[in-house]
Amino acid sequence: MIITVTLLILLVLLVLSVPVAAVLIVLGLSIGEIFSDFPLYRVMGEITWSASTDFLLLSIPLFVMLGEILLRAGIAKRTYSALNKWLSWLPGGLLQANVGTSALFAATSGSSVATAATITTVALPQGRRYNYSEKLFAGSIAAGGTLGILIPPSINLIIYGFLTNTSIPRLFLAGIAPGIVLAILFMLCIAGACLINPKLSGDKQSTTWQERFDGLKDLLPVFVIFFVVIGSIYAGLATPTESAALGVLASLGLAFYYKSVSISFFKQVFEGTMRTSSMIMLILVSANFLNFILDSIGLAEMLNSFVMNLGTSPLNTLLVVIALYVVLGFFIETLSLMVITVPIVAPILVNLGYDAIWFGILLILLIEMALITPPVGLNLYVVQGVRRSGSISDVMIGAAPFVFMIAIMIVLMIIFPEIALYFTQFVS
Amino acid sequence: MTSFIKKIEKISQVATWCSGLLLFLAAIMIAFEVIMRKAFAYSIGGADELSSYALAISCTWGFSYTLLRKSHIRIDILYSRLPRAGRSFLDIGAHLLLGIYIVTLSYYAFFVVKTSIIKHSAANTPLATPLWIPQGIWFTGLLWFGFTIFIVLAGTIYHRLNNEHDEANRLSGISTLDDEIKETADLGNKTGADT
Repeated sequence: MIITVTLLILLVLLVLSVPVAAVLIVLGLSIGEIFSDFPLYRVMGEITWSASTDFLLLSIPLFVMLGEILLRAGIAKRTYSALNKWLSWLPGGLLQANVGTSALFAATSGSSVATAATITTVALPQGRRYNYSEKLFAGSIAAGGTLGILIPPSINLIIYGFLTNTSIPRLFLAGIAPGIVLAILFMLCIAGACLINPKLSGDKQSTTWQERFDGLKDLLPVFVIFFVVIGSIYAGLATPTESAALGVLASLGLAFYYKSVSISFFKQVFEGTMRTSSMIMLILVSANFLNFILDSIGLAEMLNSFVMNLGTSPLNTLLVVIALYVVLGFFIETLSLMVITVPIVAPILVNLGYDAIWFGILLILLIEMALITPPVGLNLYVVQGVRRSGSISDVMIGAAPFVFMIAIMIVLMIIFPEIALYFTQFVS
Repeated sequence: MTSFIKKIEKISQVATWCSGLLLFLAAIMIAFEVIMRKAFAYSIGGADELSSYALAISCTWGFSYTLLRKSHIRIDILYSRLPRAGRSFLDIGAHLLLGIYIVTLSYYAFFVVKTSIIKHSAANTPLATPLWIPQGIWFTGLLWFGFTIFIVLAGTIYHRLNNEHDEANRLSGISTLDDEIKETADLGNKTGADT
């Protein structure tokens, strides 16, 4: 009964294009009114204040700011041209550089829209110059951009950790290996496709070793940031929020080094940071209040007993959940999808014996898939938007092989959970 | 009407810059705290507490510019299939519900501030910050957000009644991805290093 009512309110409001944050609150308040004898709405102020001052959540705007600074300091363009020198000998040349740059750069940036748009702007002229097949070229950028939410630091993983009370350092650590494996799968996929059909690739570029070594200094910034942020967490020097702050300081140093800093630079950085992080924070504090209501009326227990009574095996339940995300991912924007479903789905799976960290990584893979599957795959539209020629279906077709690779990765994760979990045993 | 909204947008933009600056200062403060603590085993103390307040304050003061730039997420499955006249109905409904949410939240947030003032509540930390100060600034940001929603709502209804669908849409419609991409793409071109 509760479940039906909840779903109904949720769907109607979402379809009516009510802002997602307001949907969550209207949902919370009406469920509280209908199913609880206590006036739960009265603590709305306290709950929101305490979520707004959560030190962990501070890491979100700081990681967004880190990405904004790097973006506006022109790091993406330097990274791309340097990686191209190192990867151009592989079958698929520039295509490999697309995936590599996306993976490296997105690893330090908060916004997948900004990352994909920047890399498309930088890469596309090169692709056209060397006669690459534009379908696969566009697809590789769209797909590469999704790697950023898997390779730490990842804002999506922080949100998952906040909603499920799991350790962020462990989630970050768990994301590294699957992120690298997936990037390699993408690169193998490109190499394979280009070996079978050389027309997909473009003209060969010759690069001397001298040029390659000269390019190394342009790769340094991304590695420095990654080392500062991730290294400081695992060396036990800093919490995730503190590491984000160190990252902001380090990226500011780089921006000074590249002489990008000015008053308007700061205005743009602050504006970009606030637009993204205010949006995320309004949704998060609202989701937090909804969670409080759902906890109070005991929805999780109801769902758990409901799932137990179904008597399906854990694996079948997991497959149903995956199918659900694939389908919902076609239609719903990914952040909304996460905050709406995670508080309900994660406890059910954990109750069935799945590891919460492992499911977090699996969920991110599903979200990555949602980002490049039509009709609402955000990254597809970003790449197409920058292209401004040809048809969106070119990008969709070009991204399809990578959707398949993510699917393989999901299967690998189910068969070998160690891909994510092996390294997490080293942190407490 | 339009010039009034422009003014609100300008104030909100300045508030956004200040919020960003506040977070930036918080980041620098935390970074130095970490470096001092690890390198010199010396702690200034209070960095985490103060920066938590910075988060709360910057959020509420950032909400309204985020609203004016249409960055609060709305799902457009139905929306994008409607004619412009139909869209403004959804826009009005969306902002009405968001407004009700923020008014309700402000109402209960007011009690949070009021309680802190009456009870002289101080944070349970070495700084013992009087809580009403950060809570008060946080609460005022919420009020400004509520006011902005009200103005956007009123403006949309006004344009709708005058059948000015383009203006209504510019004020409160769902932003198209195109606008967003244009902004970032320009940025990529502008700030990329020479290769």
